[in-house]
Amino acid sequence: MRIEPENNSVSIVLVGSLNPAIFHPSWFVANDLLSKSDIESAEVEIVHRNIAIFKVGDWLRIQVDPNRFVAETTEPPFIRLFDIVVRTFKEALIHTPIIKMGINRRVHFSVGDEETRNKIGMKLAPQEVWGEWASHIAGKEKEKHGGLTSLSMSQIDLDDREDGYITAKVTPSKLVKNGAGIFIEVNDHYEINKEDPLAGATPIIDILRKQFDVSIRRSEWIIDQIMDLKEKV
Amino acid sequence: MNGQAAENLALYDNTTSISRFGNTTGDQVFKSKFYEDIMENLSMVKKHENEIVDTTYPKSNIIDIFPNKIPNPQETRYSFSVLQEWEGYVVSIAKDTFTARLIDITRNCTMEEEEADFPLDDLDDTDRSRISLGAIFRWVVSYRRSPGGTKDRLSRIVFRNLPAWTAKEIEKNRHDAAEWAGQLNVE
Repeated sequence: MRIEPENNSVSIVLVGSLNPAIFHPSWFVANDLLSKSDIESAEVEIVHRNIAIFKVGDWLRIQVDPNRFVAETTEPPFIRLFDIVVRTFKEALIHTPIIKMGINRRVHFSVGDEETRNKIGMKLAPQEVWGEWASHIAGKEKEKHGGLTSLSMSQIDLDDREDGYITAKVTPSKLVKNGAGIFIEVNDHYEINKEDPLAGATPIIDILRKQFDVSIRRSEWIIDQIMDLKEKV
Repeated sequence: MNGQAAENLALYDNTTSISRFGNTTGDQVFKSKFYEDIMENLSMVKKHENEIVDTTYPKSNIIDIFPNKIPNPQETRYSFSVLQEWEGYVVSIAKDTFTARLIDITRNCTMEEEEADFPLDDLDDTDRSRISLGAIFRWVVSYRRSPGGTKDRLSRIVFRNLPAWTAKEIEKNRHDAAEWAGQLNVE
């Protein structure tokens, strides 16, 4: 990426039928998915039959509800996230029905100043098309100007999956100071044919093994297209 | 199916980490709904608390269990930015160092082009006990930025935690290898 992110993460989201109550760091250690030293830095927020949330140092955060498993990392190498998700659902929870998956790349970056960010917003979503309202969006005072709050763009014609899409969402960043930040999330979404309910997690995990590196590279390439606007406005 | 149930099912469709059912993005919009369910369950539990042994948590009250604000994963202490990443495998291990062949991931290389020596002291305790000939690892050089804006350069080696081969996969690999061997024209 041409601009160094100020904050970024990778997450893997699986949708299916899950039992949150088992997702405790000790269960991961018992199944040889996390090491004993990992558990020393583990912080459990909650483990309950409806929701489980814990984190391990800065490198892993897991959140599970009865229909969603989310594993997220902010610390490279991101492949560690891939390894633990693959091993969890290929070895310990192989029969868990999983039907959808998202490989998500999120980046907050600065374009230097608010003026440049606003120009990028105008480029992505020109205000003239809003007709007479456009002049009101700008506002009377500089501190009260409106503008683009969220924009999503999707690609659905994809050769590498039976069903799914790629969606990139752009919003102003709340984490980058001085109004100079842009946040982009790329959701690389895969779905499998639901005709085989006994397939468990294997079909989705096979897709994850094949696609993870490709997906991260492609998402960063998409993010880079928006970063490139800094030089074009 | 009632309207609410249909709505819930429809929501289990995308996979962003924003927690709408079915989505696969990564946020947490629906947490409050789960907390409401849990609160309801806990009030049931309280009625029967003499009969139940909680093996997950020490006894705590509901306020302790449900913080007002759950930290967003984006609000971690440090942020990281990868400068360079390699995948390597161990080719020899000496008393204080190990040697590895490296593939440059940043440049999308697929063949190892470099060899390097690393001090064993650079490994954390878990990885040090895991190192063996052929072991695969990632070596990442990155910037680490604190919330205050200070930046330092980090070099980190992490050994891969790959899934074990299944009997089915080994069988398939043997079959593929035999097929490829048969296609080789050896004179």
